Amino acid sequence: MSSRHSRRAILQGGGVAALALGTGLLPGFAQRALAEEAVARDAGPARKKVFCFLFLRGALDGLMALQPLGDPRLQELRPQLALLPPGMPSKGAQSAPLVSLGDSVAFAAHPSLAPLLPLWQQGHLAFVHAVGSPDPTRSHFDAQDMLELGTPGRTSTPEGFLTRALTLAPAQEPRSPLEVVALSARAPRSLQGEKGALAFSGVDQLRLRPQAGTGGNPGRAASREVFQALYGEGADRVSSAGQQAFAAVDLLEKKTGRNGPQTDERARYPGGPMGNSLKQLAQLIKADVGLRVGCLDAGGWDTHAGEPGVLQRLLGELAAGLSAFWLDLGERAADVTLVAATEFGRTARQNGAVGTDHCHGSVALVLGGDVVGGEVHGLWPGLRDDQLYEQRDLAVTTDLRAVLASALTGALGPIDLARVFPGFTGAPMPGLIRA
Amino acid sequence: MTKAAARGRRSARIHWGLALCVCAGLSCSRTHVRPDVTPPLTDDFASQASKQAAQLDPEAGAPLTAEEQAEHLLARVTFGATQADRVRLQQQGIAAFLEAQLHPERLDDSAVDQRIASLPVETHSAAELSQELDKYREDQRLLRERRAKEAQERGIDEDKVDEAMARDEQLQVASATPQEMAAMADESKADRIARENKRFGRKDLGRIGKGPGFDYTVQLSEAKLLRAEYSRRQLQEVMVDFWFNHFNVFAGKDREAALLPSYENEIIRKNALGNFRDLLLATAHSPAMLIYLDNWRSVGAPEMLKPEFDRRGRPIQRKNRKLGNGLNENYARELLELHTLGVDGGYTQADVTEVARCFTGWSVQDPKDDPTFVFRARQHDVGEKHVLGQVIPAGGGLEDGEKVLDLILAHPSTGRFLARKLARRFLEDDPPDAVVERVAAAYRDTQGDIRSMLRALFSSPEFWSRKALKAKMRSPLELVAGAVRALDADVKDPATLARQVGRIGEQLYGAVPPTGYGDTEEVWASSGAVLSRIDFALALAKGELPGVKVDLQPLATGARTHAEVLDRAAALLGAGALTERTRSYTLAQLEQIPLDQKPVLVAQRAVGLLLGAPELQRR
Repeated sequence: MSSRHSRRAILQGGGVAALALGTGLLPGFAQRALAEEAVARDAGPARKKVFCFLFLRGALDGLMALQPLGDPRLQELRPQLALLPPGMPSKGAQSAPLVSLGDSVAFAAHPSLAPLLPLWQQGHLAFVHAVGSPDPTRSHFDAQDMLELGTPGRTSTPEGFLTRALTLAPAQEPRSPLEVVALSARAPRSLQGEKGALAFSGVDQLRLRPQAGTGGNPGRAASREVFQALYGEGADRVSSAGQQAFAAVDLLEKKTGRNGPQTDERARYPGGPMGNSLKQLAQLIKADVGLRVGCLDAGGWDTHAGEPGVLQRLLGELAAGLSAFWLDLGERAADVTLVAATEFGRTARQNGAVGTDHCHGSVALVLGGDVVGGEVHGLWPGLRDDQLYEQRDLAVTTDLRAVLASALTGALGPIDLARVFPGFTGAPMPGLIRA
Repeated sequence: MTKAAARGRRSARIHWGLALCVCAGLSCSRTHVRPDVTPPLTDDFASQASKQAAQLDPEAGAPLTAEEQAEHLLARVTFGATQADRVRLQQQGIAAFLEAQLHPERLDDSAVDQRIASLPVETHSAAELSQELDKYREDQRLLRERRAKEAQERGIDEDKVDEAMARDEQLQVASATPQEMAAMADESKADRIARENKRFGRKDLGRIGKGPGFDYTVQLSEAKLLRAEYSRRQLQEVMVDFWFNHFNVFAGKDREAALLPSYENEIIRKNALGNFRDLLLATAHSPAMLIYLDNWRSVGAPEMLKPEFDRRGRPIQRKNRKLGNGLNENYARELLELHTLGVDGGYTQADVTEVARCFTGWSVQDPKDDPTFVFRARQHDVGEKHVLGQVIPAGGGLEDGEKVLDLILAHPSTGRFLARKLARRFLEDDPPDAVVERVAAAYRDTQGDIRSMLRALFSSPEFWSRKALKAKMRSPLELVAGAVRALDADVKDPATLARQVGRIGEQLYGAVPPTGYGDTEEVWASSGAVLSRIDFALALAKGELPGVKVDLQPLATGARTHAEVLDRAAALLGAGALTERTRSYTLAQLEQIPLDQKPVLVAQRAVGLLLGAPELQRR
């Protein structure tokens, strides 16, 4: 155990005791917290593998993010969206320099994804193309639901796929109140039914306001302490939920923020909610709070009009965010597997507003220490009319559940996939994650 | 044929009640009154039931006292007890109070109706709301296109165009003298929205300015909160909440926000205490449900459609009949699984497909300009179908779907499924089979009379058992509405409360899946939500929710001890028996503040602590 670590643990213990004494109360919860802290110390840091799911809501245009390079069909289908190989004259379309993804791959990433190039070259980043759901719905809300519930064709499944994965995955000691976190105002449906999930877009969201007659930060702390005591004894579900919430907030305050590891100053997170939540997620991972699953959301991908401008910004944000995330994680990057996926793709043909409409297949990004990167995985279905799904959409050749299954088992350990994805008869995507 | 099925068929043949009345407009907004099918509850039925419960299950403890009975009933059939309710119940007795609640038409509700009547969603038809929604979306689309075009033409990036357009818009709107510009800078949000509405030729239907879809949903939520707070027809509103979740429609899909006001008023509320058959048929015909579960675009397989001929009498090739998307099973599945039989109700995937075939052609005239039910014979699968072992002969039309509804209404699983859900809502998460059977029997005997089912439930000994006290966790809506009711808060801005309900985990009209929101502790007791519940309690007690005023002075007035304030607050909030821990700990917190100097502060602290405590998360 490093000396840095044990010193921090002692300081934390002192903090709890002081708080308790300061208000003339020595409740059981504080003693328990101290005891748990001691146990956790003995068991070493709660360093665990982490599965991260970044949901690109609104349907990312996979044919824009990762284009089959030089396919003349692409020019035909979407003259104003197709990238041109470097050196060719521009026909009013974008002529930004291409990011090469290596010699063997006939795909080009959108120029805004350039910050990801080093990760690709180092073999940490993979794409899976023509990925999606077997269900043909083109409704955002149905498709998002089905993805998050892990049941294409069904939107009334009671639990999210991550909830089932967490229930079925082997437990890892020491348990932590922060095993499952969503960096959003509400827990996403992929965590539906997961009682322990804590959702917050900022730690502030978890702070209680001061109770009557107090104020400021001391008042807030007092509120928490009071309610921690009120919820501290009961064995009922409500009390347990409260106990866990307070334990999580305690842990957060002890191990993150000013008390925790700082953001690597070389990591340049983009402004905006996506960058911010990636930054917070990195902090949680680096702080060894025992995180196993982290959920993030990034919206705005519904590019019905003016797609080039929108995607230039959003893909740029995504690339900058992920590359900062990776850099910031430092040695912990090895423990992380992140899947960035979307509910469906966009029409192969551009529409009248230099945009695209809802369609079937899209692309997913997989980033992580165990990822077989530097590769575009999957089976390319082609863009000829007879190759397109219903003559309009990129066909789905890889079920997203195969990608998720592969990443989940890599990060959480062996899981009964037939129960995580009921009705899914496929296998985890081979060759995507190093065994 | 099994005995149960035979009985079901017979009852279907005898009489399923009055003819259906589907009202999409505002023309028939009076409450739907059905005559009583079962006799009203009388005398001291509750006390007797409670005694019976104690005899049946000695472990449950003594029969409930009169006061416990009153608090228990109020906690279950209202959104939370008010002092006025307590007085009324004491005067009328439990039976009369409950019967009045079962007959909402006998309770004058004009005060709350008046408040709600000013909301635009209440005064415009579904078509008007839908057209405005469309117009707004079209405006937005044009705006986006213009933006995209400018970005391309000027070769600048989108963000800059956004800024430029925003500036542009301001200037255009102004096209104005400096004085006018200055006036604009000072204008209130309401004025700005009114001006923009005028500019775009929109009706004044919203007040938030995020578009009609959002505005309608906010207004619906405001109406829901106002009714939960102030309606005298509490049981009706509780049942509206129950049925809305049972027949859930998500406001965010397509144009549902425009259709939901009439869906809730004309279908759910009207039948909330009526007959389940009316309710089911009305939802099945409603544009809101047909669109939500995609049935409006469900079309039979080409070879199953009625053949058509051109003017010369030649058959039209099927592939040339452009009819949309083929069979959609969404509604059929949820109809069986969620609306009637229940997931284990004894149907198969084949039944789902067959039911879907029966409902092909059940559609919507025009979602935008005429959102009413229409049967499109051209889309209907005219083949023979087999549903739950019954044959639906070939050549049928609209009646195929109606036959399906009658079949499943008469199926024994439907009564049991509804009975279990009602018992779960009003009694406990995992209700005893005996109660479920009793309520299911009432469904069977009365052909789906909801009032009779509730009477069977409320007169069950189990309902009045000591075990039933505080057995349910309050949903976010129940917590927020109940707290505001208990404290008799003055709600100027119900949207504030709706936001709190959402923050605690129940975004109103925002349940995406057809299951609606669940109704068990399992659903609501999550760690993040507990923090939001506590924070709501603190905020309400301190008067920090904008547009919601509480006066806690009376709790402290004349109180001689901190304990007295605490006891008054506990009684007012309907806290029931506090654990010794909560009581002593809360009291210690109160005693930090001198009662003689800051009485209101003591009261605020008491309410905040109690309302946030685990005990008050239950009803």
